[in-house]
Amino acid sequence: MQLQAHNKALYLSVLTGAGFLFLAALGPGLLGVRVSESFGSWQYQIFELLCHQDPARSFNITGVQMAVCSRCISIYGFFFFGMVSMPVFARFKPSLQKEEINWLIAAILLNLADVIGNYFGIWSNTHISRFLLGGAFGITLALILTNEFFTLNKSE
Amino acid sequence: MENEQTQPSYWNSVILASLITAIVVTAFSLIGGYMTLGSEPSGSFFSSAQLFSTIGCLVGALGGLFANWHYVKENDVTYKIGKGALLGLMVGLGATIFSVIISQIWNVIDPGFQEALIEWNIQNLEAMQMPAEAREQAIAGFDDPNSLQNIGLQALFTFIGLGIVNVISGLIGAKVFASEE
Repeated sequence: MQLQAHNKALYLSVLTGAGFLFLAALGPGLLGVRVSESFGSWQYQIFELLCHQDPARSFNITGVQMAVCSRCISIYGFFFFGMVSMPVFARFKPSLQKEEINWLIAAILLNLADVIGNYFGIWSNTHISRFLLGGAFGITLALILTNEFFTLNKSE
Repeated sequence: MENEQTQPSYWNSVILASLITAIVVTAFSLIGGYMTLGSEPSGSFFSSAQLFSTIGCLVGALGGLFANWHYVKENDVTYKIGKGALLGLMVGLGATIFSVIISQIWNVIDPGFQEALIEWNIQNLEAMQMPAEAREQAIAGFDDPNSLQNIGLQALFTFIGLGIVNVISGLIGAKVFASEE
């Protein structure tokens, strides 16, 4: 069985975009910018309308807050990882169909439950729990798209 | 279902999704701004808008998904995911334009808002534990947010963020709603 690629230009464009988004989301600390110089950095501005950027809910790099919260950095990171790993996913699971949509729905529901439970004080989520649940969402986003870019050619 | 050669225009769906996305993200931004102004400068880099800290995340990414859902629902069509990505990109661009327009309209409604936010940020920087020289450097970096250059730069950054995430959500939308499978 041979791996066949489809929509190559689209795949490369989305891969590049996802990679850029992930690197930007890591924030100015990645580029060695100091805290005092990081105010108003382009990384923060890109995500200003996309994430709450709450310092209490975000990781730091060299003491400089990332441009997105711990859940969002995980979503972007795992989506990028999923995009890179798509050829491998396609080999391990050649027919990705409806069950991936169910996984995506499950990941969304888990994240919603976590947010609501935390909001109403039923439990307190942490950097790690938000990171793991965000990661589940990010990886299922990539999984659902795998067969649009890579399939196994069974005739060979 | 109609095939791809005879598909109707997607502009209605794109404009509707752009408008909804722009209104939602700008409203979140404005409400967050007013909540910031209502709080004491704490010396933290970002204000913590409690309500929006939990529900506001990634709302701006739903535009591409919504545009594809609406386009399929209204026209009963199927298409490839590339078109879904295009719809998402258009929504990212449209939402950026609409959000800049709404922000400018808000500047007319409440002309003191931007200035008050800058003042709050300066007080916040003064509350930070950082060397005086670094603090002065950061304060000097506050430009007029209503200058044409800053509006253009902000729009560019907004488009980069909204554009990429809506392309991804557009792909997902096309896969889920418009796939022939």
